[in-house]
Amino acid sequence: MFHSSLHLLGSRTVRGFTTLLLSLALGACVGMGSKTQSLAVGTAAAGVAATDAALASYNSVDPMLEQEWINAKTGDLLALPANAALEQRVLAGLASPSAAQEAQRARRKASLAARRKAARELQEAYRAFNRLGAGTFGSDTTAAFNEATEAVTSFADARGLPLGESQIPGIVGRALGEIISGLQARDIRRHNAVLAELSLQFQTLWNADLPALEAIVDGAYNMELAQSMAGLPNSAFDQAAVGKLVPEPVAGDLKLRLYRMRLLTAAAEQANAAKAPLRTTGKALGALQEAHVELAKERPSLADAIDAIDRVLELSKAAEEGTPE
Amino acid sequence: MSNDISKTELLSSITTAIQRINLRKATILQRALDEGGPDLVIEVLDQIQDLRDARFELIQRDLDTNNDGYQALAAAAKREAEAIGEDIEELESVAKVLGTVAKVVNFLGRILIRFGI
Repeated sequence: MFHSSLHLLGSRTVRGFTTLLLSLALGACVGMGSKTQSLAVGTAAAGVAATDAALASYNSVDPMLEQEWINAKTGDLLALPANAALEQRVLAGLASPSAAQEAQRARRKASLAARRKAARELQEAYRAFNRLGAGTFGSDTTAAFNEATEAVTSFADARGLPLGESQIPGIVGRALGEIISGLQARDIRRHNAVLAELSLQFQTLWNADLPALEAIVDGAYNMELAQSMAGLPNSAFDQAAVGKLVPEPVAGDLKLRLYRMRLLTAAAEQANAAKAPLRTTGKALGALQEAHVELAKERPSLADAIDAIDRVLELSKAAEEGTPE
Repeated sequence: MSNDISKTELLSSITTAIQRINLRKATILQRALDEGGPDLVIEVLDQIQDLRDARFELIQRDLDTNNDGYQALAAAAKREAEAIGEDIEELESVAKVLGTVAKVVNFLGRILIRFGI
């Protein structure tokens, strides 16, 4: 029976049993598997968090092309000289999006869709990695064998037989649990290597995208509307309203200068605040690499691995919430 | 590498140019109206739009360059998720077979006790 079962399990189990024999012979440490499993679960959680941060970033960038267009056209309208015919012509051009504008939208959507798909698929791989790490595949086996050990040991006691032989089922039971654990640990290491490579690819692509993503943010926040408004002549402003917004005790013209400066400063600050999560997501992906590297080690440092995982989780959370690191 | 830097510089230059034009846009458009009438204003606005389109193109080309990389990554990540799923199934089946073996041993142990063999 045992032999046929082994046959069913195939070469993988045979290698496992070889490992078992070596482990028994060398007195290999029990518990290494659970440490690997714990770190795999932590690394998987970090991978899910980092890809969540990336997805949140793509969502934040998505409406920015539209925002840039609205700000640009609003700025154009504000800057138009007072001329009814001109206003009508410009407004008529805004009534429906041009073919060129539609094409730009479609290209930007397609780019972001490709990025979202990659992040989602990578996240699914990390979720699967979590299931692999969290699975307790050998627990039933061990329990059944423990019962067998007790049964045979009781029998041996009643008959006054030497305990050494009757303990064998228990030893085998624990060892079979170790086989499963060993196979699981081997799978974790193998998939950790693949996920490390995939997340490195993602980080590389992310960093390559970063200048373009930051330029998109600038276009939406710090290029059109604030500049167009700040460039309006003094006569275009409601001096009383500006006076309320600028409390400094200076003359009207100076209040306008201060107001213009604040418009531009606020736009730059908004842009920087919107760029920060993009950079933080890049850092989270970098820390994720460190977690993979630690898990790949023969004897991973729990402290170093937890430190890397914690940093990924913190950076990802900061990126998603748009808060400073 | 030097190509990347010049592309980044070009993007930065166009962005700065648009910002500067916008800061003087009201003045520029007023002069255009004074000197050429509404048609010249529309022409100036079109030229500003051309600058925006050029900026879009520069950004979008960067994104397009990386599109293939993302598509390849998505496919590889999907294969990896499937591979992990297959390994989980395999571990479950190994555990199931070993569990059956364990139950047989358990059963035999109980028979030994019951019949006092």
